[in-house]
Amino acid sequence: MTRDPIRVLVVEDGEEYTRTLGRFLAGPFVFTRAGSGSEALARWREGFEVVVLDMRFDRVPAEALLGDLDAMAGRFSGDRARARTFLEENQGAFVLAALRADGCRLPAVFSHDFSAQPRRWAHLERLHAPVDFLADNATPGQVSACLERLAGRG
Amino acid sequence: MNRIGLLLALASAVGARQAQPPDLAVAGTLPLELEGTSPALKAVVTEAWRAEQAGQWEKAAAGWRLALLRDPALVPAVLGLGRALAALGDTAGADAAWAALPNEPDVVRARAVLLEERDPATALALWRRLQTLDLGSAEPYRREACLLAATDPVGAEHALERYLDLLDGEPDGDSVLRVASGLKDAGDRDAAARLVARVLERWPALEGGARLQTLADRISVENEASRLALGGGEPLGSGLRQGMEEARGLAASGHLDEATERLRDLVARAPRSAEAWASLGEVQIAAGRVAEAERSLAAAVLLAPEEPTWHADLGLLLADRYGGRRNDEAIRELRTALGLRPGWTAIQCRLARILQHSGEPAAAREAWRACLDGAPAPSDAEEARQALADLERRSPAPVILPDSRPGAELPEEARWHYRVARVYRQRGDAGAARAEAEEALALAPAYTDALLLLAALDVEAGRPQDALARYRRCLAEDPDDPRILLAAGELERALGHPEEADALLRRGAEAGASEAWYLLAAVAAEEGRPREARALLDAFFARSPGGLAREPALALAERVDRALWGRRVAFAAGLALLLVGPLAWWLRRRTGATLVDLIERIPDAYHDVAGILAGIRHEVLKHRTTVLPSIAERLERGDLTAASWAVGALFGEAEEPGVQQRFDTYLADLEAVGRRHRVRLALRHRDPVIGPMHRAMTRLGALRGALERPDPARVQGLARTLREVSRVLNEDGYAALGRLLRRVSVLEVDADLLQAVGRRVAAEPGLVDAPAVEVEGGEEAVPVRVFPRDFEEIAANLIRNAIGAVVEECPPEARRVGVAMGLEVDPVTGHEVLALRFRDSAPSPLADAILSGRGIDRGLGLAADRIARNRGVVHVEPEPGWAKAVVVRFPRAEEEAS
Repeated sequence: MTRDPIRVLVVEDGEEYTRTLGRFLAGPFVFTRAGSGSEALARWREGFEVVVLDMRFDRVPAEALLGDLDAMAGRFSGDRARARTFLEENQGAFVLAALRADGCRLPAVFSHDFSAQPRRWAHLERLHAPVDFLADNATPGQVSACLERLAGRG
Repeated sequence: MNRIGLLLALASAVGARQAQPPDLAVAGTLPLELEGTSPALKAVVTEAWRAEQAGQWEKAAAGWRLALLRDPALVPAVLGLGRALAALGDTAGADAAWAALPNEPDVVRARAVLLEERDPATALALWRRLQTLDLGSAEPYRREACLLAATDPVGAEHALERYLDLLDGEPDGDSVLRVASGLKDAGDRDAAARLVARVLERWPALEGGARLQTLADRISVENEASRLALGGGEPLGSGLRQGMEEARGLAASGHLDEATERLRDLVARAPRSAEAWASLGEVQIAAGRVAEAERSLAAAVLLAPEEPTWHADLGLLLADRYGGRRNDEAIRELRTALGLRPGWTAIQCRLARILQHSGEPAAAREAWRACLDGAPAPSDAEEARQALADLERRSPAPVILPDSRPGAELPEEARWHYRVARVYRQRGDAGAARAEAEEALALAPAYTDALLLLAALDVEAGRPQDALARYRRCLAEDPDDPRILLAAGELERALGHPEEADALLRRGAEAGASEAWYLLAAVAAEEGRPREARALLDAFFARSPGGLAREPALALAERVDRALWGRRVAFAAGLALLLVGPLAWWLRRRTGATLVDLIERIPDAYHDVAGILAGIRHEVLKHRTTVLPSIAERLERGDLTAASWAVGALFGEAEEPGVQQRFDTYLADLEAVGRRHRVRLALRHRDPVIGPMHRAMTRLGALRGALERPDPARVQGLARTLREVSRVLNEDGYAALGRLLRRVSVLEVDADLLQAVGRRVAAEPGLVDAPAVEVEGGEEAVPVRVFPRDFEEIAANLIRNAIGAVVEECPPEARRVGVAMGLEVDPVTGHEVLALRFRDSAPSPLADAILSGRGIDRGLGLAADRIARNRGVVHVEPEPGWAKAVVVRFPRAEEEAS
């Protein structure tokens, strides 16, 4: 008996993950791309089992970034450029925080290597569980195993 | 209003209604047509309007009331009633009448005008409502701006900007003046100046522009005055003075960088010392740091405006290092210096020179005379005398030669036409000159001068062949005339007839036209015959003591000599190149710095390097090359489509660059960082991290053909190669990049470090009665990516500032200075931040604006710069139990420490 494919919501500013994962993991998975945090918030209720999050969003306009740019600029001594960079570099975390605040309890996986940042990862697990991460150089096979485990199919 | 569809034409009826306040003219509209209304109502309206025109305000008010009884929403009647009541002095009645129609633009406008003086808050609300009711109208914004000018100048400026945006014609100068004055009075002179400059730039002929310019001048003066308010420099203590002298000694012995660094520290510690700033400026000039030197000297001048030396230094810097663009400022500074020290002859001479170069001969003459009146150095005195002689020299009278005697063969009339022709030519009338010369030639066909004149006119008219024919006619008369041989030879050369030119020029040279030797030499040099050119030039120099050709001939001789020398060494050099070239190429590839060398030599380059390396990891490896093992796996399974897909992913599609191109772009960025710091990087062949990746990328690029057209018989080998490349890039390269990123020193901040800095600052000679620095937290060290020297400067300056404040403001028992250290966690990203709270008990307020304003006093500016340079932030925050805290935050460098 064939199993239903695992539906994965991929939140990324480009199309690399969706394209690459779709190419190499097609069959057991169906990948749907959301190009921004707001699109992810609009779509997460569409029956997905896992959310994959890119961390850095530096190819979207500032208005598409989640997070309060004005408040962030205040934190950076009024430097809006630095504030925007911070939002871009950590946008994956902002998206996940917004999803959790919206009631989303789906398991999430960051495509960001936290293996050298155990303290930060501990904070993120505490803040946004259930959550996992993929190393930057993870192969499609490793990604597949991780997604199946998170979806409870592993 | 729409119901009756009235058409209102604006009437300038203000003059007829003398009792009406002039500013209510906006409501003075004349109803010409009342479509759809009853004849009875039309009659009432017309009667009321006529009464208004006649100044019969009570009758007009009664008429408008009557009209309103018939139609309570009749806008002309509401407007008319209000006008009449206002004219009768019943402002409250007018207000009530107009308040009845709160959404009619004309009525709201009339009411806003009425209330501007009596009830400005309501008037302001009405003008703002009108901005919505009458979209696109500029006037409500102007009124809002004027009303806010005194109380809310920033709001007024915003409203005025909107007014200027919407405006069709010129703006109202008075309104701009009110808003700009409001900004200035509120202390924001910069905003006021910017506003005035913008308006005057856009409307240079604005009515009232003169008053705006006066305000701009005033702001400029006040700005300068406010900077002068920093004056009153303080002398250096003996310890600091000794430090300054040592730094100057270092500069004198050529150690400019170290001297600059020491003097920077000195001005950070003694920011009100004019001497320290001036010394720094002088060393910066010597080091070629022009902008920094100017800033330092300007600070010295502000602190000690009565000291002539620094005015002179600043003036000379402005004159010497801006290519004449800032001569006006230089002249002002030098004149100030001379005002303070009138007998300063050397500066007087420099001033004279600058004035002369600036095209001010009268002022220059006066300055040179003053220079000579003093005791100038001999060379200056000589220059002054020469300059005065030049400046005062009169133009000579024109030369008048006696007429030559007429030759027997030339009729006098022909000579006359020739003379007239020359005058016409001098006056630029070629046609008349030609006609007169032709007349001369008709009378004397062999008249050489006339032929030469016509030949010159032919050349000017673009007819060289005609000119050449005339020269030939001349040569038929006199074959050895050097002038004609030279002119004809030059013309042949210009026409591209080298052999004819050469023959004519040689004849000319032999006949005595020395310039011909030079021209022959130029031709020989152009044609690659330097030995011959040199010989011809020797002939030229032997016959020509001066003349216009001498300078170009000297330049040509230099070029020819270089060419001859070059030929001599060319063979040897070529041989050497043949032997040494490959070695040099090999050496160049294997010398040069690695990234580690760069970062260790130039720590400031770290952030740029780290950003680019992160880009390689993210954009090249993570997003692209990690697919290599999967492609290899598919190929091994016989799926050849994976290969063609990989071509697009790896080598780019459409406009998107491929992986190798991206990698090369990042390497070029790294090399550019190196060049900025004058370090030549040898990344591709010598760097232990980048080199192997570069070779793997090259290997990957070579696989393109095999991937585009995979051969089933060879896919196993192709897959193997892809796996090898993947290992180098995705495993070894990825790990090596990570190690490199971690290599730069991470500072461990803890209580011991903070206490050490505190003790050092408290022991400084300038800080007497300093309290001990109380350190809280910091038992566990926290790693942060801050350069140790920067961190010490930040901490020392903030502690010094706090100690200075408490010593100045608090009695001894209430003086407290401390540093608290703690970790904060970002609730979204999980980032940890080290927060250092520099706290004190001094009651004087401190605000973020002062920190971001880079106030140079108390070393805050330096600390703010260093914090920003290291990606930190700084804020002033309340601190329970203390007066305040300056809080510095740096990200915890977890990745690097682990």
